[in-house]
Amino acid sequence: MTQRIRHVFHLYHPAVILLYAVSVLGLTMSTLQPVYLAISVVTAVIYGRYLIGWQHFRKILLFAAIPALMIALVNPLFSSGGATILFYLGRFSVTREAIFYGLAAGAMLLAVLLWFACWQKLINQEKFMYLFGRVFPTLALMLSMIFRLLPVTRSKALQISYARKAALPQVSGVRQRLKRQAAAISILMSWTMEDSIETADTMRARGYGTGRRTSYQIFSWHTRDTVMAVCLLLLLLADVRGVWLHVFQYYPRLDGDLTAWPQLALYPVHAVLLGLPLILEAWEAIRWK
Amino acid sequence: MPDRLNRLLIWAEPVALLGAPLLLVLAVIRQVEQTALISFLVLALAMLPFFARFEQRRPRPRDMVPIVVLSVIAMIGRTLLTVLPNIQPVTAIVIISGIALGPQAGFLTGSLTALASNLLLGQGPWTPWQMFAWGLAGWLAGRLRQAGLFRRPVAVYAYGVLISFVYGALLNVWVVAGFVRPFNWPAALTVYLASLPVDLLHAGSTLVFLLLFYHPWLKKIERLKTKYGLSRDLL
Repeated sequence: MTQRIRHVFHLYHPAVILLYAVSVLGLTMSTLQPVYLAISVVTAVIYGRYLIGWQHFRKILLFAAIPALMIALVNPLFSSGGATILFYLGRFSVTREAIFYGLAAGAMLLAVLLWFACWQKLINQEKFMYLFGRVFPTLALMLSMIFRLLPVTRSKALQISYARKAALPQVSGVRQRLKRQAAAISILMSWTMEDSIETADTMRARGYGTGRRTSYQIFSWHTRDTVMAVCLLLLLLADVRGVWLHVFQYYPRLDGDLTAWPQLALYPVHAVLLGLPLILEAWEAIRWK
Repeated sequence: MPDRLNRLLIWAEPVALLGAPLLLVLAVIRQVEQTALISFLVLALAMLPFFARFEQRRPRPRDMVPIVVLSVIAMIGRTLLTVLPNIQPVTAIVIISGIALGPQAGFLTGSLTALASNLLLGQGPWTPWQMFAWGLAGWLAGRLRQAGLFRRPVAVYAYGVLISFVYGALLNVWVVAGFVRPFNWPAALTVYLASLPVDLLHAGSTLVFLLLFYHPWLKKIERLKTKYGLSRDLL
């Protein structure tokens, strides 16, 4: 399976991508209306497959399906709500409403987990640090110190373990080995601590944290970002209105018209908003054919 | 002015930390459809005062170092020591950080460890919950020490076991509050029972790591604080 490295959506400013990702997650979590849920799940699967590649996405799908199934089962088994009793399982009555609610809640959980998997690809570490650093410069500095220290400290851990292996007699038994390892980690802690305080002083001397945080990649705001942000906001407004209008009740009785006329027109809005990056990719593919 | 803001933020911390679960319970009782979404907003609001106060103090890099290093060690421990999932020293290290460096450092160690390791391993809806739960573990440890409850190490060990279960319980809240309706105890219990083995491992490993690290690390950090003159009031 070949994986696309460049996506059209990555050309946009991280703030625009964040707006999209937050809107999608927020909307997915705000309604249990069946059609909206179905749109969200289907779009997440298509986009996730496109972004991540089928090979890896298959595993994510499996991993996300387990809690979703659990929720789909737990709800009908234990919920006493719902008016239409289908059958009894021991002391528990299973109702039609609870089964449907379970399916809907499971679908929502599945969609949220899949969208988070897409989020990981959309907002990578670099973009996250850029956005996070704008709001919390000190914490972003700490995060980047953590990322810098990880490989350094790992190699220190190896050095310690080699040195101790050569210098100390072998021990056997879980207890002894655990004590050895704990001592090694303690050494690692104080070594890293002393080293890093020295580093921190030179960082201060070089003026870390005095100016605005810069990033390796240059993110600049273009006209297309403004256009995209406005489009996203308009779609978001329309979609929030749609979610608001489409009331669907599970308890005590399933109640809700899925095909009421004026609301019907708002389904495509949801699909367009969620599938916006896919539409951009398709447009690009057609244009360059 | 910044001083007043700072004092306000100090007050906001416990209110936000303890108010967040309350708001969530309210959303569950009122059966709000968007509980899953609301819980994220509540968590963000709960963590904001900590981050804002830390930013606002403009700490020197050397004062960040203890927090950063403890996070790094916790993350490495999480990957190095894993024989089984959830046998990890993060909770123990976060508790030690809270006790040795103060509630705020404890909170930051916990939440930054969660954020950084999820940035590497993959984000999910669990990220803010882990940030919150580990942050709470560190913050509460610091507060309890200030209240003089941790004079005897046994109290710390007991706290470690207890808070590990609280951590597991918090991570399940999102699923139970957001996706089980109408809320009922048997269903909630099923979700919690399903995660019990994991929680037991977590609590056990926290206890073991506290037994191994608590005393030596407290002494080491105390020595470092004196040697390098790390500011106490900040932490």
